Amino acid sequence: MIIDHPLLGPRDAAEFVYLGDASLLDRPHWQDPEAMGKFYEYQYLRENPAGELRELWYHEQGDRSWLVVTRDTTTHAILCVELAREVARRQQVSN
Amino acid sequence: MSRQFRIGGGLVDPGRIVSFSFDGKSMQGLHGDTLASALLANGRRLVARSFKYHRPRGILSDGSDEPNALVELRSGAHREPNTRATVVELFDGLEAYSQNFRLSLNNDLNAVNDLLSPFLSAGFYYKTFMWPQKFWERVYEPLIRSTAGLGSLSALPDPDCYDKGFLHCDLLVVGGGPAGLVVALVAGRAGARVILADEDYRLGGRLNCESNSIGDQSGAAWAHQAALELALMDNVRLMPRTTVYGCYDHGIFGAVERKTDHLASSKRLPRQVLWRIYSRRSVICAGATERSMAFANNDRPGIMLASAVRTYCNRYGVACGQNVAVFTCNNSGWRTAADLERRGIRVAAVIDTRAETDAAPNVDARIIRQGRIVNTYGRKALSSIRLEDGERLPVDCLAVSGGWNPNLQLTCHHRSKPQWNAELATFVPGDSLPAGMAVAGAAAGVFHLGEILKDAAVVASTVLDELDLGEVDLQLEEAADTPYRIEPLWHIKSRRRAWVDFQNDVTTKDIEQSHAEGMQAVEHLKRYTTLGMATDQGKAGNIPAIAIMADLSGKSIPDTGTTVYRPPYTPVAIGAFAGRSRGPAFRPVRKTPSHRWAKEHGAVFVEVGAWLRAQWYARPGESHWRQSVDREVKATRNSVGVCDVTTLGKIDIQGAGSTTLLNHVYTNGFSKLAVGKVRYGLMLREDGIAYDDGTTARLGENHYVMTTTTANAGLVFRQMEFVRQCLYPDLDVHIISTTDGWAQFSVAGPNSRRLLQKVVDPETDISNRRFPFMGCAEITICGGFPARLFRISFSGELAYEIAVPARYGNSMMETLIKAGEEFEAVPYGTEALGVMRVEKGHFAGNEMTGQTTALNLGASRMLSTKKDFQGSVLARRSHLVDDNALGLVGLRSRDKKDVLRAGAHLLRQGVEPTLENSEGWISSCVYSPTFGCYLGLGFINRGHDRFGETAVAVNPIHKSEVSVTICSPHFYDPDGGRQRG
Amino acid sequence: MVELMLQREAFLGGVRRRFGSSELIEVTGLELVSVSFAENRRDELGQALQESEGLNLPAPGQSTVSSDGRVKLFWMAPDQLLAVASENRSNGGGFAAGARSLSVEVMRSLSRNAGFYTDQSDNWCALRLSGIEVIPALERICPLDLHDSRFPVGSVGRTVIEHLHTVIHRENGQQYLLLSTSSSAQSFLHAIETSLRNVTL
Repeated sequence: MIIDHPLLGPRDAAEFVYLGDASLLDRPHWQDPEAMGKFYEYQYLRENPAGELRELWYHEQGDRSWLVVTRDTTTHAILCVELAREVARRQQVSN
Repeated sequence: MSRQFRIGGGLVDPGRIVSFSFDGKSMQGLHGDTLASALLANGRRLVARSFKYHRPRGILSDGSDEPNALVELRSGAHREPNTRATVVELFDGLEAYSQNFRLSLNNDLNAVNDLLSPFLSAGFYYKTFMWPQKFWERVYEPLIRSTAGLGSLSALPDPDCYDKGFLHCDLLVVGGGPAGLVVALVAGRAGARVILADEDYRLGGRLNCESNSIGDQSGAAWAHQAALELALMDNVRLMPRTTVYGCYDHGIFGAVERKTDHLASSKRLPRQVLWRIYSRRSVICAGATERSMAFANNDRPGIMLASAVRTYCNRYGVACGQNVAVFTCNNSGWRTAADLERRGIRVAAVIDTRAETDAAPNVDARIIRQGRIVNTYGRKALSSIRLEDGERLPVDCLAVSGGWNPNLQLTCHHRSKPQWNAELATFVPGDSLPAGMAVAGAAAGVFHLGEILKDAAVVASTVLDELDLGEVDLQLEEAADTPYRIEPLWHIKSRRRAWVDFQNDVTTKDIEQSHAEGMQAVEHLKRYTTLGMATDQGKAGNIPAIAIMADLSGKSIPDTGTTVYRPPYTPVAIGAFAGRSRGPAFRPVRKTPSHRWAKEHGAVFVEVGAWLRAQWYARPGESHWRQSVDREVKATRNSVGVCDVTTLGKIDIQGAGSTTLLNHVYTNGFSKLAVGKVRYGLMLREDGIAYDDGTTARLGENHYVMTTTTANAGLVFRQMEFVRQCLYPDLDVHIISTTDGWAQFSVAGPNSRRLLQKVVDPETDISNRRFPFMGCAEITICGGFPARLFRISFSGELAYEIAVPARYGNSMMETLIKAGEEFEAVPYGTEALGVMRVEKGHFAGNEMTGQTTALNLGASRMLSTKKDFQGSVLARRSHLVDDNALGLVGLRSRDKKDVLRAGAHLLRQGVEPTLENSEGWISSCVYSPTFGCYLGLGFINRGHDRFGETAVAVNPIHKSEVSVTICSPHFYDPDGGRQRG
Repeated sequence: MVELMLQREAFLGGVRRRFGSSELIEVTGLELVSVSFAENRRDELGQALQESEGLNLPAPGQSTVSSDGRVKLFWMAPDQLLAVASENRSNGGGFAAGARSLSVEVMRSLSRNAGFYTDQSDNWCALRLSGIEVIPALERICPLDLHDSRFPVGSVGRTVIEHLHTVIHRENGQQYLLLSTSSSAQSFLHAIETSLRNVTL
């Protein structure tokens, strides 16, 4: 697979490490009254769609950026690649 | 060389004679021959025995689709079985051997299988070899093993080397026939970066085999000229002898280039290169392959594909027979008759299955319309055929054309299905192709040469447009061709066997049986009969088989469908996939800075991940590792020892947000760690399981150096980057690995301070008062060399770790030992390191198994309640904080002489040694020279409450049951006085 | 007090080899300093380096050179650069002679502390490759597109070569500087040499 790094252009997926669903960006608050349930969901429950999925990839053999990749899990087509830092910022601002 | 079969002409070089041998018999061929064309030129018909029935077989085709003529090439360790004689470039000294016979090719004892054929039909192995059961291992299996398979391996290591590579292009053109050449010319002239790959050593595809003209040039001459023009373009890379075997995601293709297979010797260069080709666009110009027809005994030597017969005539100047008949259901078969007649080869008849044959070329031969062949004769070489009306026709070669199949495999590697074209009576590429792919020429179902050239130009134009490159006006000449007309005839019913898959010996009877037994879906048909599962992947037989099954099932061919197409298109040597990953080069090796010194001083090394670490240092006279390890432990505890600990991960952390980051990843607090101090930290996974531990030193206000375990260095760094970028995107903190940059040595023992005082420059006071336990500083040593000093102890002794830039590492080890001479300092390795840490009771990797928690490890008090940290919430899950939870304990054998082993289960005294009664296990175990007995660390339910209890360590593998005392894991200096002194 | 001295050793012993008309040498005299910065102080850093060294900040995939040619900055990550210079007493080529040493302290003061510095001189081993066999050799092991149009002179790429993380910099026409982690230096050398050998006829 090729991942189109937003700054470096297309790179072979072999340069990356896959972590999982980008929902890992939304880490619950430890003092939330429902913290246990929320962390359980955060850690273990996934939608796992046959279709578009936002995923976290780490450019370990490149610039060590974390990326959010929107990929169709049935066709492997990659629709969008963003710096995870920027996605995280946006999400934290809106929260 | 047989004059009668060499007719001259073609693209071979009559001036260059090549000597080769087949089954030990010397023969001659010409430069430009394949092994197949040379064998045919020498009149060799019988070249192989079929897989199951061991029937005599000859060459069927002229390309990589060849199912019969599989030979073993070369000898000794270079021997390679199952090589298609049709694609082997002849070279001087080539040795080839037929395969799959017992006794000789000519007199194969296993031919008895042919008589047993009623018992060897489809799925026979599901129904036979079952009784009596004890015969399976002793009789049936050895028998099957000796007869199974085609060819044999040398069983010697492959002496050749292989390589891999990466290529980038705008456009990958697969296939260098007329379509591929046109696409490459158009794209090349427009300035695109083009790669043109073809299996053959010579570009041109079927232009080199047919008698078509393009303009006023022969097809072959036109191809040659096109290739020359392409070779001169800097932006075009021609890759002959290269098979594009697979289409992967996002324009990535796999290709194997044969570099030296056509040479007598590889001269130590890589024999083949496996390329990963990155393309923005691709055009598949892979052409089409002819198929046969199924009729009684259609597999005899001398029965060949019609296109192959004319290839041997036109390209190689070889007559496949002296009295040839053509059997066809379409117009293209007639071309064989026309080409042979033009070269003076006798054509006995053109037998066309159709009533109407307009638009077929003119031939002089006798024409039989609505003809059917009902049997053939000549066991080791075709001698005659029988027609439906009873006539027996003497022929020594039968050229069969059942129609043409576009080579669309690559278009279906992304699971798209091809679509049936009734007019062409074949499958053509489906509607949904892999992204960026187009198809042109015969592969797209365009069979007329003139149309092929136009089609290729149009496709190329579209691709250039998509690539945003300019237009190119290609002046295409006219090319005439026989119009393609076909009335498919899949099989002629007979009570005799008619072959569909030649290589796996699958006949129409097998298909009928499969259908009768309920295996009607194509995927079932395939696996039940093994049709299409041979090395030719069903290129000849799949479509007729589908048609026959459709007929039997009363379904249409498109409704019956095809099986899934998967890479590789043709077989690829495993060595090519392995590339350089063999032997010591299998993966990189990481060496510590003092590796050379260690080697020179008797170190025995152990692999720790990619690292080599000194396990112990053998002194002359020491023959057993315990002698070395026990000595190292005693010497270190009595005086001083030095150990290279460079491999532990070191992460440099800087920025105002450093403390925040540390507080997030560690369970314990780091806010109050003063500059110049070191603190031990525990890390959990987010699910609350213990993950890693280490010490973090604060070298400055906003500067820390964290250590991790060796194994987790990369993973912890990855996790910290995740925390930094994804959870705290605006935090001002920066991390970088410095594991390789600092050579780090543990200096441990009561004399460690004295040793270091000889090395550390006088400006730094390392007395106990000025540099207490858990202190750190940036210092200089040996007259100004930069270094870092940390006072931490893994052994429990007074100890330090000293770090210098890695390029000084080897010298530093030497210097420390030299400075330590007066204290009889010893180097110590990972074994002694392990003994001392178990004696001290530190948990390590064996205890952090990925299933144990801080509670299990006895480290609950390290979990801060005042802050969030990785794993804080899920660590408190009820089942993890259960009262009965495992607790880390120390274990001592009650009898000093008893041997304890890690992995032993811990059970209460007096209970039966069963798994249900297991309450824990020994995780680490060492012989302690300090205590003169075996010591273990382990886990047992409610361990913290059971000190003093006697338990039993049960080890069924070594058949031992040892009484042990459960105690605190801190055997040695439990109050820590020694390390604080 | 015993006189104790430390010797510095090159990771690959200063290896120098020829393959066909191409050359491979270990560059031993490099000073490498990693420069990290907070995004909101990026411009400040850029300005400081511009004023003191005539150094611009490089764009992704690029490098920049100081006005006197002694120092290069490699783009390593969105918030990280690698400063590369020859040492004072080095014999490594590629920069103008008499380069001023770029220690961490010097970098810190040059940039008025608008950045975080970590010495990386011993973290990497460096090989310089030059000649016509270099690109065919790199094609065997480097997944990056090194074509002129994609990797012009001055380019910097980080990738994986034979399982080893590598920084590759095009110094000029057919000359490349490769950095890989020092502990696996010998494996790295082996990978490069095997490639050159495999393409040298």
